[in-house]
Amino acid sequence: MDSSDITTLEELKSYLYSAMQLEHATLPPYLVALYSIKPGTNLDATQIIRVVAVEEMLHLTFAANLLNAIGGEPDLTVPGFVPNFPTYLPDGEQEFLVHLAPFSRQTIENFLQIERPSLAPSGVNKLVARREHGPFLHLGTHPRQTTMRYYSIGDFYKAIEDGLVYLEGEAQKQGKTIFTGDAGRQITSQYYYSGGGHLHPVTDLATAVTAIRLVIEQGEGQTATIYDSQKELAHYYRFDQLIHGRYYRSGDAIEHPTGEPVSVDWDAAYPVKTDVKLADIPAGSELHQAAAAFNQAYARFLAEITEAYNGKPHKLMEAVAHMFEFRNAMTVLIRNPLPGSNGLYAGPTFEVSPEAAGAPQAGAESLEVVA
Amino acid sequence: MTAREESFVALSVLLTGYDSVHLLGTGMAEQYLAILDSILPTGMVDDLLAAYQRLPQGPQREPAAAATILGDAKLGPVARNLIVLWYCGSWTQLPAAWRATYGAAPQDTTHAVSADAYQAGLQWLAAGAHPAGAKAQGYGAWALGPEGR
Repeated sequence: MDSSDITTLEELKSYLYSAMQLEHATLPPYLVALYSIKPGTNLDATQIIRVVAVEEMLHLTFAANLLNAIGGEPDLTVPGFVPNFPTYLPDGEQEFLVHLAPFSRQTIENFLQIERPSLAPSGVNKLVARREHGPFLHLGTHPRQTTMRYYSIGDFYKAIEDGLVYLEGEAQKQGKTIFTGDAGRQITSQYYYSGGGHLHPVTDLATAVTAIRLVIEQGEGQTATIYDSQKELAHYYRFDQLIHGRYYRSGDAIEHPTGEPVSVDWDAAYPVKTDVKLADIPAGSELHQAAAAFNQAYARFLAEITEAYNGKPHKLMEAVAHMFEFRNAMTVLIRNPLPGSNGLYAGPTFEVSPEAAGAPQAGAESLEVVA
Repeated sequence: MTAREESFVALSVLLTGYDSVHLLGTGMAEQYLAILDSILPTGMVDDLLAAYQRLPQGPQREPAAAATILGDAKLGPVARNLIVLWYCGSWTQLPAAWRATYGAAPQDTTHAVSADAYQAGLQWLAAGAHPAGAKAQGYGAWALGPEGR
């Protein structure tokens, strides 16, 4: 048995919590880039990033369904669930930083790194010692051996799939099952409408494996094919179209899209300060209040989703409507110049908990209480 | 942002009742200032901004704005048009008497400025509503009560 293997139900639960954290962590970077695009420009890029972001929401929900199916309790309000950006992700032997940054070629290349399909080559250990990076969160860290991380996100998900198969096999030998969760806690397409794919309930090994494979195929991919089993373009190749300035079409070779041209105007975006924090915005200003209000609204949104994932699936519809509300709050922040930053703009900071916000800023903190 | 743009946004705060974060947040400030520059006779935008700069601080500020900007024969109709521009994203042709006195520019016709301006209109924010056909709220959102209820 490999040290990267999952052997207990509690381990599987902590892996699935990590999976939820990972899927969620892609949303803030994708949304900041999406909403930094100037109105009326980059229509192709807007559509491409939006579709990927919607699918990440779907993946988050699939992870919650998996966790619910084995009797877990998804909780997105745990301090530290939202990373303090930048955050680290594994990419084979290397680790790289994921930033909150405006739409640019560099940002899309960062997104390509997030979605790059890779599995540890055979013979290479799936677990790699993770480097020490101070306070920043490492996504893809091994849940029990925190000094280790997975070679790739694909390897991390593969470990979950193997764990599901192994634990259910063991349970079946004793005439039991690990899928003991209340089916009423499953989120289905009835509660979540999107073009990202059909949301099916997870109730047994077959539906669990289907869910995990959909996440792997749509997202990081683990095969070297452009299209997934549902004939949808994997996320890596969606973003790759922006770099190449051309859409992929059926039959294209990797890195050689031959479809319609994609027009990209890299300069038509508000130059949001990378990884902007509340502390960067003058304390007591209207802008600071707006940024703090967004963080509170985002914390409420995570609490609503948590409620939806814990037996009130109908709450998800309300949460999605609120998601569109804070889209407006995000665009307002992104279109405001950041005072004293030499022409950079503000943006949502996603500091939703004291842990994520780091050490409290004495001045900012007291003013916020007054406001 | 140039000092002139800043002054334009500050004037707009006074006229619309929304703070500068919201006005800049529409992404339309630059475009609206450009519209005033293209439609109004040369120098008139600067006259309007100068009238704003001359307003006193304190409790006399709003009455002074009512008298020297909204109540002014030349600047009043322009200021009212600017309010409509921010709220509806459309330009309304200036009154005939004003056009006869100060000059009629060919672009001074009643028109929607752009699709983005329509969506950015403060009217939606003020009503707690959403521009029809844009800024979708998500499937089933029509079943939820309006904000603040």
